[in-house]
Amino acid sequence: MDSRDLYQQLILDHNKSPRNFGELEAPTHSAEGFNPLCGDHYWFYVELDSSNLVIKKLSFKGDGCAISKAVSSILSQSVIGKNVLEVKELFSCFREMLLGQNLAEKLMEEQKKTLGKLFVFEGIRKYPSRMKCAMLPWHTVIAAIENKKLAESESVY
Amino acid sequence: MEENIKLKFTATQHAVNGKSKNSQELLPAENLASEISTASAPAGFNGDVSPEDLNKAIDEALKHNDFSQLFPTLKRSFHGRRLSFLDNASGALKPFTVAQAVLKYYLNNGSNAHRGVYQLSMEATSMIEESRKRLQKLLNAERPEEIIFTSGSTDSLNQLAQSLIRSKFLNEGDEIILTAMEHHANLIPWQRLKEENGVILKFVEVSDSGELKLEHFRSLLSKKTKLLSLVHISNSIGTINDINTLIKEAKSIGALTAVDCAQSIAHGGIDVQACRADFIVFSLHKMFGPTGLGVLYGRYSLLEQMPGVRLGGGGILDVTLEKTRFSGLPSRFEAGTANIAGLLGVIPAINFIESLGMDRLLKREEIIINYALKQLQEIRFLRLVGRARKRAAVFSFVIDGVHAHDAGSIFDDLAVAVRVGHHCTQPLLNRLGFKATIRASFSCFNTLSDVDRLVEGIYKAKEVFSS
Ligand SMILES: Cc1ncc(COP(=O)(O)O)c(C=O)c1O
Repeated sequence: MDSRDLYQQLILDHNKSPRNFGELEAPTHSAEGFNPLCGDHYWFYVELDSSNLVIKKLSFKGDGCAISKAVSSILSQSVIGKNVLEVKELFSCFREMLLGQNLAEKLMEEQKKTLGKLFVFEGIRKYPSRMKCAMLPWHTVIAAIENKKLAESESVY
Repeated sequence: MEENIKLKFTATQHAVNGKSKNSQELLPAENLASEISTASAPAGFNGDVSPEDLNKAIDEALKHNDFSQLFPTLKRSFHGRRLSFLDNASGALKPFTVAQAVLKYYLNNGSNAHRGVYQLSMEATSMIEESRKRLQKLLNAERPEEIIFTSGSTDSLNQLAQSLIRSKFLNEGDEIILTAMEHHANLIPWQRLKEENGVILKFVEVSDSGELKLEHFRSLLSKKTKLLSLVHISNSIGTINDINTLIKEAKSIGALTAVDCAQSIAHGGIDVQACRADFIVFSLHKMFGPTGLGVLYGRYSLLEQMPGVRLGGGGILDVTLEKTRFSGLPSRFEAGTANIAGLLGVIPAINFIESLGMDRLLKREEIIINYALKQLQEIRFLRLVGRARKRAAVFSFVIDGVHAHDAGSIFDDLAVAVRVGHHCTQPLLNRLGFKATIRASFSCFNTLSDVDRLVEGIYKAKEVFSS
């Protein structure tokens, strides 16, 4: 295996200069996410619009490995402007990409289209120990939206 | 060095070859056991390994600088590269003789110990008690009853804390001195006593180089000090603490002393009479033995006054619905069925350590320490975490610009097994200014080429993250 499949340029770039990094001025929701095993530790801030459904703004702060940080950064770009349901669907698609068996080509194309930039994390599939890192930001964003204060990632074996 | 050495043994009655006349005479079950253990042994070994066989195998391994005949896991490859196992502080690999002993119990016996009056059970009992005696000798303990079997260092420390409180050796307002260097296993059980029983915890400070501050320890000692509990060798930064001095000073004011020997047991060992600790704990899996097993050693005169913590089947004299009278040592602390198969792996683990000899083991590790230190210190973008003057072959470090967890995956691609994270010593790493490090920990079976592979991984990680 070559770690370059995992650490694509886009990931390294978002790790170095994460987007939407910092706190929001007036978040309507926020949550803390923590991976006790490896020490990934993030806070996500979400500002929903007046309908309480659409993500107007989203940011994060914290520290962790390149995978968790790049997922946080690219995820933040991907979910702003989406409604809460769409975010959950996007996460399920992301999760499927990480866990999924080899998809038929057509489904793969669809997955690719849905995930957009997030497809860059596909290589993690071969690194089960790192799935936790990739999922933590998602669990934290969803915890925030659901008014939970603390999120842990899930173990996948 | 990587060539497979074929060890030839002209072993005598051990050369039972499945179909020889000898094995025909065995009972079917024993025949099976002997065949399977022969199958699981590396080429050149047949059935049980005699002390002479073991000595020979170790001499060969030393001569060729290749322990893979003894430790079959070392023959494994990942992604086409031979495994470099550098996570021995977590758990050492096992000599095949340990695996054989475990297997043999399941194939030949399988009964419960300390229960039955029939042969099979008595055999299991006497084998366990033999393991206890070997451990007694290893620690130079005065009596076998001072060796209590537990599920590991964690279990030992939990039981120790709870038993000290219940025996009233520790009471509300008493002070316990720990250090800022402890594994969580020697911290959280005492935090529980603080919350529930009102004991007071004090922590010996750690210097920037990762050593205990002796002067600070002395300033903590007082009439209120009832217990000192500290780690012998740090599992995350490799510092070897001067336990003799600390124990002596704590004892001089009448405090009890406990030492977490999880790391030191297979890297120098411990003599309980020489160091005079009242309690020590360690795990068998870190000394080449089976997982899920450990020891709580306690001085007899103290243990005698202490109640067991885990209660149930065993450990009793008689039970009524209202009340129980408990038995003596060590059974009072060993209620419930033990990991019998695992305990039978203790003897071959000790045989390995003793055949190799602590001197030769430490000598090998010293060569690795010196070489690794030199190599690591030459890397400009690497920061070594913990630079104690007296150290074991455990190295924690960070690579500038690369998170430890990312480095871990890159090492894994190169089949170099290291551990990344806080190594269950979060307070220590915080104190030294880190959240996570990469840890490479060596054992007697490692070679200098493992250090080279580690260094290769460090450069590779830096390269990936510099692009
Ligand atoms: C110093 C130290 N103490 C305690 C432990 C806990 O050992 P176990 O997990 O076998 O209970 C370890 C193991 O990592 C250790 O290194």
